[in-house]
Amino acid sequence: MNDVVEAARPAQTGAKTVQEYIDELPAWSDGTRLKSSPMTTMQWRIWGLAAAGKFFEGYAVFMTGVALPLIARQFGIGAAEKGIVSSASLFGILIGALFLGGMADYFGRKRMFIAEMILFCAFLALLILSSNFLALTICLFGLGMALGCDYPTAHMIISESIPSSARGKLVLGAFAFQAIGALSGTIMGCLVLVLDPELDAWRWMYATALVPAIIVTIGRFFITESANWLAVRGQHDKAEEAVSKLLHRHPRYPSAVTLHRGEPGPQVKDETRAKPSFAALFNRRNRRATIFASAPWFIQDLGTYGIGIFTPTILAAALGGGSDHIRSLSDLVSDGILAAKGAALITSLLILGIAFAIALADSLGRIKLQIFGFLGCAVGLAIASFSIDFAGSTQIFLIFAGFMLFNFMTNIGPNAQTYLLAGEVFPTEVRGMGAGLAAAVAKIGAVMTAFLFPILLASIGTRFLLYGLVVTSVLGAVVTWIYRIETTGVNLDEIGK
Amino acid sequence: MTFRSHHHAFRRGLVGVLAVGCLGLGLSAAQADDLTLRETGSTLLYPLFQRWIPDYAASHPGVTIAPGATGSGAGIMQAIAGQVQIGASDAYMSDQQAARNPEILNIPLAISAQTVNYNLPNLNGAGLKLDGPTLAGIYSGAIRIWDAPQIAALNPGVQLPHQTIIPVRREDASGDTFVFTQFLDFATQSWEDKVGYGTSITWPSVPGEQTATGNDGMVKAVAASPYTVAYIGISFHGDIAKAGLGTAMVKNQAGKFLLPTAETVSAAASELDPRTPPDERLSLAFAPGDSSYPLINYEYVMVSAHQKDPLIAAAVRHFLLWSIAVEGGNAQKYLDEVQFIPLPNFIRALSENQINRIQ
Repeated sequence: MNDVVEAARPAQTGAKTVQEYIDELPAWSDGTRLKSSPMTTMQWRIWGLAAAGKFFEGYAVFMTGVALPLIARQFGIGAAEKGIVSSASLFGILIGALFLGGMADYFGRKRMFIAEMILFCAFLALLILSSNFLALTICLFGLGMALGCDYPTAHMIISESIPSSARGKLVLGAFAFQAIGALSGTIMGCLVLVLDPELDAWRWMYATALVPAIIVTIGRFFITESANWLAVRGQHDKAEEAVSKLLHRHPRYPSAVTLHRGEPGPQVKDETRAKPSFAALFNRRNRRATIFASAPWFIQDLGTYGIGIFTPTILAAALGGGSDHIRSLSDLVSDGILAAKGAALITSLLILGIAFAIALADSLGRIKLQIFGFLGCAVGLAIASFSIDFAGSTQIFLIFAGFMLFNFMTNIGPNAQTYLLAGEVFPTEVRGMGAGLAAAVAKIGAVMTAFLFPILLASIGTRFLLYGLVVTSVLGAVVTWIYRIETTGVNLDEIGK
Repeated sequence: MTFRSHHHAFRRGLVGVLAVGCLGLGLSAAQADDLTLRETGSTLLYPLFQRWIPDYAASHPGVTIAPGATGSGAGIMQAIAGQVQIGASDAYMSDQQAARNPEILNIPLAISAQTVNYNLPNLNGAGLKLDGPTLAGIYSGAIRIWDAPQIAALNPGVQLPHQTIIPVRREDASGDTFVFTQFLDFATQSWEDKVGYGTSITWPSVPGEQTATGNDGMVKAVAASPYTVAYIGISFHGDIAKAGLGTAMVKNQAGKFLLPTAETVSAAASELDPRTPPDERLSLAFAPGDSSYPLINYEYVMVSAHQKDPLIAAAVRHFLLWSIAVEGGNAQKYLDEVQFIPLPNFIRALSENQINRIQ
């Protein structure tokens, strides 16, 4: 970097948009530009702190899966209460994504980025100490709200701070930490159960996340606010300062930052866009993006739940069955360890799929991957549905083949791409609300399917339910094609124009 | 090391050797003081204690055991409170009780079973078949009539009366209630979801239901009222036979209808014995296996590992080790009378380990 010197200022006295500054390739002293824009320390810091948030999400959610049987036995809660506990965090994510995520458009990305982690730490600490069902439910709901807020916020804080050319890679790279967190959460859950095979073990499981979460919270105070957001809100001086801090290099490049103010640029042309409103998501300009971000994500959740029907069979075949009934604390602990291993197996598939998504998102493009992924999911579901007509090893083979294909294709395609696209397709002034709404719609899908699918399963049977999901997966591909907005390599300023 | 410390160590060692020697020779001070151990709890275990106590007293003069039949719930609570040295229970302590009272050991002494009995005039010898979901339906009020389709389907060819079913349940906190409701819980999802299990639970309200205290109360209640059904500890089989009550064949996890016999109870126990953890708190109800009778349990005593007096601790240890010994309290001559099954060797070793912790 020492040889990198300031490039000639742009012709228009250097006035550029925030994203142009971020995307600009630093130049050598002879004027030769670098082939790519190396990430600055601040950019890595922002990315790392956002990835840590995704890590905690996976960690806490998957840990709840391991902890819940212990909690249920300790608090003596029945099936109905277990359902409430399980859906508390999901409902919290829905509310958090919809309302708190959107607040990042009003109060700024950084403030919500910090607030969500404070919320996370506070509810985590209370959760560790909770002594009854009500307290537990409230704490899991609170944790869910923090995680829901993170859906749009983490995406925006990364994508508004990094070069457009690497956006897919870096956003999905951070998203992958959700899966790494999930794997770590299950391994830690397993480890705690082995070291402390007691009912209270669940408290220690959650406690392992507290100190790292506090460190991440403190770290988030030391990042710059999104210059994109500051510029859109008309705070140009602060935006210029934020760009300088974000792109701080040795030697300095750029040495001075002058942003477009007033007339040019899409951000300030329309006064209403500086005062974002939820209704703006449904106006003619944003409607397409709203449908495009929300509908495929919703459809993707349907299929994920559908293939989940086979999860117990897969796990029993791969790891062996658990206890016939929980007859002792030892049964509870050994079943918990088995459940953790099962979750680890599933998460490994998730990580593999996302690794491919990271590698391909910026080269193949989001739309191709999402369509290709949805079609692959349909094939996977169809193969799994054929297993109903077979028995023995053929049946297990078909279930395995369908399950593996679905999981790989959903993670390379819709699972990764819907998250990535939701944070890209909206203009900066409503990006938080738009991405939050899309995540909330997806969670509504998850909540609805959790309640409706058992009823459908009982009334129409597994075969027709799976056929229905094959159709919805194809529909996901069709909706993606019809409403497509390709964002691969596109400057965020250009989106929504 | 000084001479003085050597001297103290020698004295401590000598006292220890003498104490062990005295206990080993059965010459403890307890005998001289005519020590009394108080036991209370399970009404199912009570008949066994009544058979053990005279024989134990004959071979161990100076130690008196005073039994009481107050129900398993009282047995657990009084052992925790230190009001008795031995609390008897058909159920192990709940996780919460165990966590709050880590000094209380749950020690199985034998394996017991429970029968489902009924009073149907002219049908008591018919060997009615019942399963978990049907019993759950009866005890939740969903199945009200003896000739309901669910019962008729299990008993083809049996002329069931068109009479209202009167379920009888325990009034007192009871290990039998624990075993029975745990069976319903394991066999019936809706019972698990809505009711659960325990020594004392919030029962669904059923019009006409009856309650009774202790197993003897249950036998009397069923004998007194036609069209009743109840769960009764197997050690009351003599009273059940005298009252002429019917005993149902109960469907096990493998779908087989069985009566409790030495073979079916042993089969169920051997399926689950290997899963017994060191603290021996394990549910044996609804065991897997074709030949497993589904309503069985360990018969426990609850004893504090830390007794106030070492002599009492030694006396408790001696009595409990005798009670689980094949040539002692687990001999067929005692257990056959109450239709209990001796502990398998693996479980006996676990119980011995726990008993030896009593100090």
